[in-house]
Amino acid sequence: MGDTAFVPGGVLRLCKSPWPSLAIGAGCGLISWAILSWTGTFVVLLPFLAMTALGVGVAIRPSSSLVLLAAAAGACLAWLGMPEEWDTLRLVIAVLAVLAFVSAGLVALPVIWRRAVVSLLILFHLAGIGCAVTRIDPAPWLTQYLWAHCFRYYLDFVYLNNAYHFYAPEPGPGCLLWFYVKYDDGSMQLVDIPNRATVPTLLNFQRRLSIPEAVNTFVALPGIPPNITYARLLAGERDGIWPYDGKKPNPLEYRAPIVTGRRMLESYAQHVAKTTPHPTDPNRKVVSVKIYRVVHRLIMPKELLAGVRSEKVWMCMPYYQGEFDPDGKLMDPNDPYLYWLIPIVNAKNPDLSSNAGVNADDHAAANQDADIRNGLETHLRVPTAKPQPVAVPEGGPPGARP
Amino acid sequence: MAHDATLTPATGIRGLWRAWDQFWFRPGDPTTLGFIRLVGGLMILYVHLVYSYDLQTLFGADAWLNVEFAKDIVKEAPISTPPPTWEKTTDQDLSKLSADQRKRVDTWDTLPAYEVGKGRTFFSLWYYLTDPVQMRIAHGIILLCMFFMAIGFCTRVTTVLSWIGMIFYINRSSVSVFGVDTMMNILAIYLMIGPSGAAYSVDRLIERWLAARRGKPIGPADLPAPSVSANLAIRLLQVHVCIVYTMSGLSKLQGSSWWNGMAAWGTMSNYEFSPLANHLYIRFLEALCAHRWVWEIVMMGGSWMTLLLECTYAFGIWNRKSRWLYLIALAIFHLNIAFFMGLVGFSIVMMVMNLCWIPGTTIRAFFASLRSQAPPSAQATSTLPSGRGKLAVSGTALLR
Repeated sequence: MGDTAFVPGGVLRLCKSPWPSLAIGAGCGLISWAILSWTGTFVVLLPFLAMTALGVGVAIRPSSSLVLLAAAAGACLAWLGMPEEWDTLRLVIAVLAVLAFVSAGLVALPVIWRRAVVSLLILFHLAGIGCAVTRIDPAPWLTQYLWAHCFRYYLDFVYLNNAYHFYAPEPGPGCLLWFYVKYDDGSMQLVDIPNRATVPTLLNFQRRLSIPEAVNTFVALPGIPPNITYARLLAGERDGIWPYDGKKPNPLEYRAPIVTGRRMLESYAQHVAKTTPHPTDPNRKVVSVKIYRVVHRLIMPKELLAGVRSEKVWMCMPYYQGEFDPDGKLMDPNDPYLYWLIPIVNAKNPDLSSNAGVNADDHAAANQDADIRNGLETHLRVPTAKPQPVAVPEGGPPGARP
Repeated sequence: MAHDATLTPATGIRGLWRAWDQFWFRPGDPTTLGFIRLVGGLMILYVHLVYSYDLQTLFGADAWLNVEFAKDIVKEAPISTPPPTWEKTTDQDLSKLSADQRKRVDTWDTLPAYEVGKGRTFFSLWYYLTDPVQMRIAHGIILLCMFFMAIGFCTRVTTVLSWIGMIFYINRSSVSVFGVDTMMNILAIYLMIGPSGAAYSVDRLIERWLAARRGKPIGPADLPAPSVSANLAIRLLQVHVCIVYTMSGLSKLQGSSWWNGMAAWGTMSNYEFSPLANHLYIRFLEALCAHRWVWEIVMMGGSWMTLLLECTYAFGIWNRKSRWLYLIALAIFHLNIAFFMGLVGFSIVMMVMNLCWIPGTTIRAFFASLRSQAPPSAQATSTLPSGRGKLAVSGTALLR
């Protein structure tokens, strides 16, 4: 940057020369490469020490092209000292090496040229951010194209892909995941996330709030395919779990997640199966995990005034995501309830169970817990993989590709 | 103020370059950056300390997002884009695809015609290190780097190591990241660029000690040496924060609930975010709901003030006269987010980012008042220790 670009401070002032540090860095890189080449063993700490020492060398004398070039060379040695399987970390070292190499040229330039180059970098950086923030649908063709062909490498690397659409366009209701873990003795255990009572801090809880959101993107369908509806109605008649809107279900009652969401569910099921031992008998094995994505709808002002409370189970709208084996494989992709809302209804005040409005009267609060038709409890007892009379169309479950 | 946006009038290309040069490359007071490093660094340390509880749950081999799927995303996730010509490709015949192509379509739900590449340039130590003991050791080393960064020890190196460490966690467990991680990352990037250890740091203390040993003590009136990279880092942070608020506000304009006021209710009545389990909070909401006029004014006011603040931030914050108004409004805004949505960490990080608008003189005056001392003199000159001599830039120039 020229004149007053940088003043190395503090403990780095104790080291007048960067060369010992650079030598240590290069040495660690070389040793790592030698050990890897001769024995096939990778000592994780060596490249880390190498890069740190090289960084210290650069920090002591950042305005020297020679130092930067030496750091770049040392970084190359550290790169060679990492196995190919650690490709993403090799990428970090490669980027730092290139950065050192480019900086070596940059510091050798006259101030005005240096500032011109840095100005171009600033423009590139801001253009990249501009691309990232305009990439969310409805996105212009230009930003999508520029992102895919130019900026994504940079933005992905530095994690600047966010579009900053916080609670936009609409702040939605809370989303939870309920995992019912079945054991070989027939017992079942619920794991629900997020659950504030099971984590020590608010931050841990908020991290778990994001986990259900990762499966909260759906395939856009013009309507529920007729065979899906028919299969659902047949199953509802058999098991007594009718869709919320009866024989003409609302399209919102069927929400199939996109393909990556389904893969996330497999991963989640595997995680829960492996981390949820039987509560009393550790020898019991997990046989399956049933997952429900639960929308905890927002309470309306009228309901609140009527004494209704958000904690009530019928404020929750569980969507069945499937039953998975302990390895995370979906056991029956043709399940008629798959991706359907399993209604939990307050039968005394059915309007309380919908967002359409509330028949708020003095009885509303008193009847909150009375006559709950819990479709979920019934559905938990429905065995999976029953033969279905209605065939699912070719190409897999509907919505596999829009 | 040191980072004020006053620019000389632009006349032609030379004038434009001069304005650009003054904006980005004028030497700036690193005090603001140092203070941001201190406060932001502590927040970054806290967030990663909390990860200690979730190390295996979020980053282990069988974490929520298991390591195989995470690595698959890095290697195989398709990059799709609309075609470069006007040809329609939506009617691609799937039966003509090879078995591998068909499998890829089933796995990633992207047609080959749209796919222009695959894989992402993400990186993480946790893709490879899955042994619990090794993970704890690595986690401890990263926390140590973050601690050193926060206190400003070997800052030039520890800021880079901390940022790299932060990205390890973000990229490995994309299912658990949220706004606080996005903002901390922005902060950490700019802390790397500027001399964030030049003020309020152990590095600065060591510098003073060394100068005293060499017989050239650095007094309390001496300012940290002005730096072009300090100004550059602060400017980049200022511009980026403007982009964040502007996009946040503009994106909300697409939602009807932000126009009719329901958005504010949507955040206040969300059971998972708000303190709706607390009976006092419920009493408060009931009192609000009992008077519709009051409810509508509060909700509409909250929603519209959010839109106004975010959409006008990028214009109003640069003006010295309106800046303090915006900063106060933002403090109230983020306090509301912290209370009504429980997003305390996110709110703190956002307020730390907004410190970029506070000049170094104000920060120094604040700390001087805490020590009940007079603030460093406006005529103080910046001295580079170790015999580099005094700079031509006087302290007065830094106080605008």
